[in-house]
Amino acid sequence: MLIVTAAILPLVVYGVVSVRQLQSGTERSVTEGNKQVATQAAEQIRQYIENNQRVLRSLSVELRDPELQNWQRSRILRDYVLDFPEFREIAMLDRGGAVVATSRFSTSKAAVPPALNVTGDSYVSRVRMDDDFLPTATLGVSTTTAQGGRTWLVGEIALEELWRMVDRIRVGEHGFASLQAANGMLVAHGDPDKKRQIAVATKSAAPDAPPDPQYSMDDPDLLYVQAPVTGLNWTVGVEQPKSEAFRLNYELRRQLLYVIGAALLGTLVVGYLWARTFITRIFALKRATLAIGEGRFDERVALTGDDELKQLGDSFNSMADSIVQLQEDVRKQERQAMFGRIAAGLVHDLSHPIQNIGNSCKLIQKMYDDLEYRATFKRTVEREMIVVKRVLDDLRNIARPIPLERFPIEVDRTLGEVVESMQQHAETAGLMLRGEFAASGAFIEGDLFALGRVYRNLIVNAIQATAPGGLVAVATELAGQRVQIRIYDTGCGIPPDRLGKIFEDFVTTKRRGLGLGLAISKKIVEQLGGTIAVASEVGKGTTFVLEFPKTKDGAGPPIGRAETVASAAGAR
Amino acid sequence: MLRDSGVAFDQNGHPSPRIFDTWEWLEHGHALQLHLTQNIFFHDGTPLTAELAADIVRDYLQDPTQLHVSSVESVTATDASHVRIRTLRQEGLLLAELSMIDFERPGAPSVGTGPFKVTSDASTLEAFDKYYLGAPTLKRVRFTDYPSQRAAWVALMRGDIDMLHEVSPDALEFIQAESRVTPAIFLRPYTNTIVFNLKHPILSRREVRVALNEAVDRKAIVDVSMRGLGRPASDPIWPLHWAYSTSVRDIPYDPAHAMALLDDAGLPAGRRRDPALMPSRFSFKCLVLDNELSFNRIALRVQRQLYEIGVDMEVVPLKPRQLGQALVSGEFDAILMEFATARSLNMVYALWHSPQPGIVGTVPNGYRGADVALDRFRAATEDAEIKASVEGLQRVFRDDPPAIFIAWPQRARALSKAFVFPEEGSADILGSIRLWRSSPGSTRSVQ
Repeated sequence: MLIVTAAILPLVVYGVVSVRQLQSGTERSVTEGNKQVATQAAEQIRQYIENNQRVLRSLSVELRDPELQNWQRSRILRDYVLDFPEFREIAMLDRGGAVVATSRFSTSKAAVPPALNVTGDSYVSRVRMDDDFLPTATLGVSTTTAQGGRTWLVGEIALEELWRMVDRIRVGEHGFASLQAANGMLVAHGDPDKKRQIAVATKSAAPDAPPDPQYSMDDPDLLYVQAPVTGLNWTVGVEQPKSEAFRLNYELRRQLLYVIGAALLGTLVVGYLWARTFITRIFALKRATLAIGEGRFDERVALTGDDELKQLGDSFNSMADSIVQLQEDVRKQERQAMFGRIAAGLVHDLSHPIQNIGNSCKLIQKMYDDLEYRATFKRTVEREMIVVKRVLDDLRNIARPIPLERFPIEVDRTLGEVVESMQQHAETAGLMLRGEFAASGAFIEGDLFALGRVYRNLIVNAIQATAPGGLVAVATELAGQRVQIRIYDTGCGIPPDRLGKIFEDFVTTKRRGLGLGLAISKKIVEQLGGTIAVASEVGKGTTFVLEFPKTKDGAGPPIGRAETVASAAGAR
Repeated sequence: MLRDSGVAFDQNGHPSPRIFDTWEWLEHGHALQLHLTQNIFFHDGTPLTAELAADIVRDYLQDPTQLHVSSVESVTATDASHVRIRTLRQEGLLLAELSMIDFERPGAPSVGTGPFKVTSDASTLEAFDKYYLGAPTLKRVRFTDYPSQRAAWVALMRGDIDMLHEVSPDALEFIQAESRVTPAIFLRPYTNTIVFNLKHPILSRREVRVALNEAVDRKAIVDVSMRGLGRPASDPIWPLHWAYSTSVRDIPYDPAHAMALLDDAGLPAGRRRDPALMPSRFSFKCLVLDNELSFNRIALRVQRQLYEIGVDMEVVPLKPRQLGQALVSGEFDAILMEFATARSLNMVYALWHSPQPGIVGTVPNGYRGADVALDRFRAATEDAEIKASVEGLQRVFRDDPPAIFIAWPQRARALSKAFVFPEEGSADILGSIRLWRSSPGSTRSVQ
């Protein structure tokens, strides 16, 4: 993201700055251009008026002849009106302002404005309204007669001709010019649909009265520039819709935005694609690593490319292959160790009974006639066969649920009996075996024989792990609806690295044996709905904690029946 | 708009149905049998019967103050649907005269049969729902007068009115450029004419009148003074009429020949007759409507053109009433005005025949040169006869012109785009006003 941002941000900033500069530059340029047009148009109109004044001056030269009759003057004036349609009428006035001759067939209304500066030799009147409520103005030039008298030639501007002139001033397709007089009256407008504003503006005013200048240029969608008509106090305006005036600007801006957008998009796409290949491979490595961590050692990565990531991927695959190999080796070793231990355990557990049975078989051949020895032989074989069977049962039970029966068993009483039966064993080992029973009257559901085996196994292990002079205790207590049984010793303790595996199959701290005792004990406890846990400290001792759910106090079969179950379990 | 005529004539001079929808000549051209269109009502709901129609036709054709020439013996309703007009002679202009008759209820002049009827406001007409060709779409039309064409144009620009009856040539190009208005231009059956009074001692001479005709550049007048809105004329015969002959040549613009004719007529150039007047071969006064820019321009240009061949035409502006009085009384040398022709050509006979008892409308200028041709034209009832007589008339007016027939003006009307009208070629849009309707979204009536 950083890289992408670093690549794109300058481009965006450049694009924004470019667009803004382009926009303002183009707008200035267009506005200046239109202003040039307005200035030229103003000059055209000034020349239009000036040309008309020249026409009047040349006419005045023709009329200077004092021998001319009035009818001749009229004819000349009419000829000029015919030849110069810029004039509606031309009249000749004497110094008193009376009409001497006119191009009109009827009475002329021409007059010299009263407020004229008498020293001037030409004028352009203020724009006023004619009888039809349209704007008009008169031009006048003074002429001196041969007798030194002053006369005026007054020409009334033909508005329609002025309009035609203004109509020809165009900017683009929708740009028009307008002409406003000094008093604000709109005189001409090139837009055909805005000419009506000329008529509207003059409607309410009386003839010869200055109308309210109602035309104002405040349309925000129009670019309006103006220029003065020199010497006349008129204003030429040029207005053009901004959509047209700045069309090039808008077009360029649009194109620039497209280019920048395309560049940005391209950058993003390329960046995304490149990042995707890079990150995808990293994610693949991460997934594979996690899989290895979860134990799925068959996970491999297939990274494409020819870079360091590819090398990393290859290295990862090699490492995974090595781990698998190592794991296989370890498993093989463990299997071998376990098989070795099992074999050793079997040899240990079975050699003695088989040896005894073998010795007894040898002896029975010799002492077959000895009835007492035959009874001893029978007991010995039966006893040793029980041991063999137990070992074989243990092996078989570790792989399948142990068949258990459930009867209510009084905890304290059962444990008391077990402790009592193992006192001799403890004395022989030089230890104290003590019972601490605080769950009086509490019953649990269980298999008497199986539980007895569990208790004896734990007590035997404690006795074997405790040095002479130590203590092995069996304690019970009630913990809510559960009965807790603790078997603890002050023996050597179990190292922490073995503590977690102590309930696993074929794990033993002894030099010999199958290592199934605790595994079967745990299985029995859990099948009866209980839990077994161990805590130990090397050099201080070990505590096994069993918990069973309490069954209904006092409920359960009579004692005789429990003993029958125990006998049956023992026979099994 | 208020009244329908007996028949109508299209741009080419063909008759079309109105009050009467079919007709036939009977009795060797001495009778015209007319069939009355069904379901025509007056504005007051009275049905137009054959008897009533016969009465109206009779009243018109026997009224000495009305413009008609036919010698009518009788007008009767032959049955519930037919009217028969008997004439004393073959009268080929009879059908055309029916187009001059405005059918209104006898004794009630404002009760007509047209698509619109009067209201209590004299300047407003409203639609007549029982009009036999279908009720007008427009409900109301109001009329406003203005002192000049230009003032009316300004009112249109402001939006005070929806239609301009006549657009001046100066204003037309601006109206054509406007998006809110539709101009409709059509050729009118009128001529801009300078009619001569043959009582004038010099104007009575044929060669002088021919010279004056050849001195006028009609094309320049149409192009410049009329701003192209018209076509040059050489005679008062409607040029779009089906019988008009194009084989008769136009009067040429030939000032040199004109001057030669005047020289041969004993009217040399440069005579100073009166110090107050310009030197000229001769002079005459031409009356013209005051304050009408279009006529003033034409007069100015003709004056200059005649001046170039040494003829002084003094232009005298008069108000309309004064002009009319001068025309009727014959107190003039020349008058510049519009003269009606009518597409049916009956006006040609009425205006240019020498005075006859019982016939009004004749221009009292003493002209007789076309009488024979006009009488022949009057009697023609068959197409071939009409065509031949029209061609004969054209030749007469060329050879012995009673006037300078300058141009056929095109008239432009302008209608706000708040309304739409049916396109009917080059015809006057006012003829279809009953079919005008407001543009979608507009609810205005025509003003």
